[in-house]
Amino acid sequence: MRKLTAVGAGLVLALVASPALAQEPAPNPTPPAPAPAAAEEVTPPSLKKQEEAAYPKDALARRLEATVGLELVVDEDGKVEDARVTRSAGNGFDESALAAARRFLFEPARKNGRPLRSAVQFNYEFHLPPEAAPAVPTPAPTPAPTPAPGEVVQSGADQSTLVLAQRPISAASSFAVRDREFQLRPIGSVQDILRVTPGLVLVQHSGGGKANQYFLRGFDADHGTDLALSIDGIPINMVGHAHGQGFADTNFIIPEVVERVEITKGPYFAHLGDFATAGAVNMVSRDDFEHSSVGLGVSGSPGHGAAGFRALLIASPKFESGLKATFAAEAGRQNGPFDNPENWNKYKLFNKLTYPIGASSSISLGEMSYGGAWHGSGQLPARAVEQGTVSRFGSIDPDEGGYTSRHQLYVQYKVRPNESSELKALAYLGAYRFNLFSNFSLFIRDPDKGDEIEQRDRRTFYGGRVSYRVVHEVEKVRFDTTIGGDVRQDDIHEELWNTVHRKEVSQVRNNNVHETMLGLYANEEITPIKWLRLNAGGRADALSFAVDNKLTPAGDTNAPSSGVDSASQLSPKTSLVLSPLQSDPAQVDLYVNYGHGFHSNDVRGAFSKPAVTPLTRAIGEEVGTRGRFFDRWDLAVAFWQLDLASETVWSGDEGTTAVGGSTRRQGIELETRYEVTKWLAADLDVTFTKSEFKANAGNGNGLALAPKQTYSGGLSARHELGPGVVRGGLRFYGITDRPANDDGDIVAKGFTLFDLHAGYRLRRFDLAFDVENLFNQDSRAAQFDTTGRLRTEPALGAPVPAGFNCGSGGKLATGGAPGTFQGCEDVHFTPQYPLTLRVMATVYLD
Amino acid sequence: MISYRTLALTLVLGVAACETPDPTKAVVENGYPAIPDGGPAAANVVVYKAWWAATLFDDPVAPGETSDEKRSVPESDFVYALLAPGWDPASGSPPTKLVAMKSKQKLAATRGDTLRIVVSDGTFAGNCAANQPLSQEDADFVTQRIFPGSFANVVYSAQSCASLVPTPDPVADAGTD
Repeated sequence: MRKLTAVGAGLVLALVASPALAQEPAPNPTPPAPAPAAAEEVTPPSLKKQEEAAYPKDALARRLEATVGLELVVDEDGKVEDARVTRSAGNGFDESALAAARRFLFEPARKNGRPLRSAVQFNYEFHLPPEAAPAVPTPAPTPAPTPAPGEVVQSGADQSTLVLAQRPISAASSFAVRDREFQLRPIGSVQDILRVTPGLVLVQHSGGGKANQYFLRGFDADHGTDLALSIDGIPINMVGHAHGQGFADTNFIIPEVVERVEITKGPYFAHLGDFATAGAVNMVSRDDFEHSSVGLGVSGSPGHGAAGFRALLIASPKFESGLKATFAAEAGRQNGPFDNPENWNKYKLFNKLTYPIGASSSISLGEMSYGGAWHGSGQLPARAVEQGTVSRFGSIDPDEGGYTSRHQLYVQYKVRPNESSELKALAYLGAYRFNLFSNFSLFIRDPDKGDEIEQRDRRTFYGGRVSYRVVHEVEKVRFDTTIGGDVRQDDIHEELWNTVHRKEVSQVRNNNVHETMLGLYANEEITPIKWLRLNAGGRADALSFAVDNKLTPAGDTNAPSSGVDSASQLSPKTSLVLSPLQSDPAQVDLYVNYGHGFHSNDVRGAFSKPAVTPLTRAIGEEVGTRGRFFDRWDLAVAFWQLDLASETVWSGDEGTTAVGGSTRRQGIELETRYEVTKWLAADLDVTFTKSEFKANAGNGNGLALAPKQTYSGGLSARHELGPGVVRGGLRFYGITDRPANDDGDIVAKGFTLFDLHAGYRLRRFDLAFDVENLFNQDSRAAQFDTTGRLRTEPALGAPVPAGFNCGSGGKLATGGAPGTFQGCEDVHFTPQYPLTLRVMATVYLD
Repeated sequence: MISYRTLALTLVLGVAACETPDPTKAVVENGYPAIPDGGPAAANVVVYKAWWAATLFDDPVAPGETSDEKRSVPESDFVYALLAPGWDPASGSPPTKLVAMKSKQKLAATRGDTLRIVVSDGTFAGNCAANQPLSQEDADFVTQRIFPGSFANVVYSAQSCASLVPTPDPVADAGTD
C-alpha cells in the first residue's frame, strides 16, 4: 500500500497548563517566542517512535487524500497523554490519525534538563500510493517509515520547531485552568466552572436567573463588585447596574464552550482595570470542537420541586481552509427545589468563526445571546423558617424573579509580526435588558401591599482592547514589554419602581447614565539573570460620566441630581520573582507583589448626598511562593493585604447611598495539589482572612459579611476503562460563620457542601452524572442582614407585644420610639439546594 | 440501524415534550350575590382585599365576580379578607366602611393547584350584618397585622364591625403633674 504519513509539520511546543502546574493565562495563540537567552533553557519534544496510521478504506477506495491537524499533549515521560483534532478531514482520516498519534513516543520537552509536559501541533498527511500499488490492510506500525517513491516524509529531526514560551506567572495566586480540569467536576453551569478558582466560593442567589454571590479575599462581592469577570476579554460586570454596581451575570455563557479559565488575584496586573481588586477571572472560549454533538440533561432534587431539563446542540464543521467554526445552542428549563417553581426558561447561543490569515495571524468573529425569565423565591427571614411560617424552599412573595437578555458581538484579531512580538485587538458591542422583581424588607414600607420593587436596566455597551507585546534582549538581559489599552462605553437607562404583583405602583428612580472608561497600561518584565524577574508597570484610567435624573419624587432628598463629571487614577504595579530552586526534586518560585487598583462606583452616587467616590482606590501587597516537588506535588502559599479607600456605595435597592469607611483585608491562601498516581489527584485550597474597617466605629472594626475562612478540595480521577475513559471527582467547598452586620451580633452561618461527579466517555457517547450537596445539608447560600417585617408581625410603630421576639438569631430593629416595633433585624437567606441529581448524555455526531 | 443523528433528534424532541408542573395559584371569588341592574348600590358587598398564605388580592372583586389568578405557594392557612359593603370601586374614592373577615377553616393547595377562595358568609366569619362577628382577638389580628395600612389611626370593633377614631385618653393627656 502506498500509504504515506507525513509527520510533524510545524512542531510547536507550549508548556501545557497541566493539572499540577498552575500557570498564568495562556494567550491564544501562544505568546511570542522569547529571546534566545530564555529559549535556550527549553528544548522541545522530539518524536522517538512514530506509528503509522491506517489509510481509511473508504477514502482509499475513493482515492482521497487529506491532512489532519492534531494537537498532542505529551507528558513528562514522552507519552501522548491527550490528542485532539484541530483540523478535521473527515472520511475516517481523523480517527485514523488520532489512533496512530496516541501511540507515538516522544523525547519529552525539557527545561534546564527537567522533563516537562508539553503540547505539540501536528499535521498528519495522508497521501495516496501510486495507482498501481496494491491495496493492503492496515499495516503494522513501524518506528520510522522509510520514504518510498512518491512519499513525503518529514521526520522529527527535520521538523521546523518553534519554542513558544508561556508568559511566566508573576504572582503566587495567578494561573490558568484548562477544561481538562473542570471536566472532572460537576458542571451544570458556568458558575461551577468558576469554582476552579481557589478561594472563590459562589452561591446561588434568589434562584437561577440572577447573578451569583461571589466570596473572594474577604469580599462578599455582591453579584460581582471587586471581582472582574470576563469572557474572551469582554467584561461581564455591568457598571452602574440597576441592581448593583458590578453585577456579573454569567448565565449567558454555555459552559461547554469554555476552554480555559485565567485567574488572577489582587491588583498587580497592568492589563486589568475596573473591578479587579480582589481578583479577575477571564474565561476563554473554544475556537472549535473535535466533534459536533447533541446533549440532553435532566436535573432535579428528589422530594423537592420538579425536574428541569437542558438540551445542547454543538455544531463544529471542519474546513480545509483552516477556518474554525462553532455554533452552539442551549435551551432549557430549571425549576429548582422551590415551592414556588422557578420556571426558569432560557436559551443561549454561541457562534464563533476563527479564520487564519496566513501563518501568523487570525481573526475571530463571535456572537453570544441569552434570554431568560424566572421566578425567584427571594431571601427568607431566618425567623420565618424557624417559626414555621414558611419552609426553607418556600416563598413570601411569589412574584419575585424577572427576565433578562444579553446579546453581544465581538471581533478578535491576533497577529504575530515576527517571532518576538504579538499584537492582539478586540472590539465588542452588546445589548442588555434586565427586569428584576425583589422584596427584601417584605412588609415595612407598605404593610398592606408589601415592599416589592422592580429594577430595570436597559443598555448598550461597547468597547475594545488592544495590546502589543515584544520580547527583546540587550546584553543578555531579557525585556518583555507590553503596552495596551482598553475602552468601554455604557449607555444606560435604569428605573426603580415600587410594584405589586409585578405591576408598577410608583416610580422611585428614573435615570439615564452614560459612562466612558478609558485605560492605558504598560508593563516591562526584565530578566537580568535566569533566577530573577522584575515586573514594573502601571495603568492610567479615566472615567467620564453623565447622569440625567428624570425624576425626583416629592420630598425625596436622596435622589441623585443631574450632572457631568470625571475621575481618573494612576495605578503603579510591580512584582519581583525569584527562582532559587529549579532542580529535579524541587522547583520553587518566590513572588513579591505590590499594586494599586480600583473599582468604579455607580456614578449616580456621585450626584447624591452623601456622594460616593467614582473610583475607589485599592492598594494590594502580596508575598507568596509556588513550588513543585518530586514532580507530583504542587504547593502555593500567599500572604496578602488589600486596603480599600472606601466602602461607600450606591445601593441600587433603595436608590440611595450606603456609607462605609476605608477597610483593610489581610489573608493567607494555601493551595496544594498532589498527584497520587497518574490517574488520581487530590487538591486542597484554604483561605484565612481578616477584614475590618480601619476606623473603629465602636463595633470592634467589624465588617459585615466579609468571609473569614473558605476551603475547597477533592479527589479527581481519570482512567481508561474498557473501550472508553471513566472519570470522577468527589469535591467539597465551604465557608465558616461570619458576621452578617458590622456589629457582629447577627451571624451568617457557614456551610460545607460535598459534590460528586462521575462520567464515562466513548468515541460516540458521553454520560455525566452529578450529585450536588451529596449529604443533603440544610444550609444557607446568600445571606444578608436585613430589617424586615413579616405580615403577621406588629405594624410599624405599634407597641411590641409582651413575649415577642425576632427569632433566635435576630433582634428588634431600633430607630423609633422606645417600645415600638420598627421591624426585625435578622439574616435573610436563600437556601442551598438540597441533594440534587443531574444527568447529561451527549452523542457525538461525527 | 438507528443513526446518531436520528438519536440526537429524538433526544431533542423528547426534551421539547417535557412538561413541568405549573406553580400553585389562587383566585378569590366574591360569593355575595350580585345586585341586579337598578338595585340599591348599598347592597353591594365588594371584597376589597384578601390575603392567603403568601398571596395578596389587592384588586376589588365585585359581587359574583372572580379575581385574576395570583401566583402562590403550596400552603394550608386561613384566608383574611376585607369587605367593603356598599362601595362602588368605580367611584374613585376609598371605601368608608371595611369589615374584617377570616375564613372559617384553613384552605390548602398543593403544587400546581389553583385554589378557589369563595368569600361569603358561609365560608367566612366576621360579617356583623350576618350576625357572625369575629372575636376581638381575631379582628385585631386582621386589622393590625394583616391589613394595618387599611386601619391606620382607627380602632376596629369586632362586635359592631365599625372603625372608630380613638378618643384621646384624658388621663394620659393630662400628664403627671
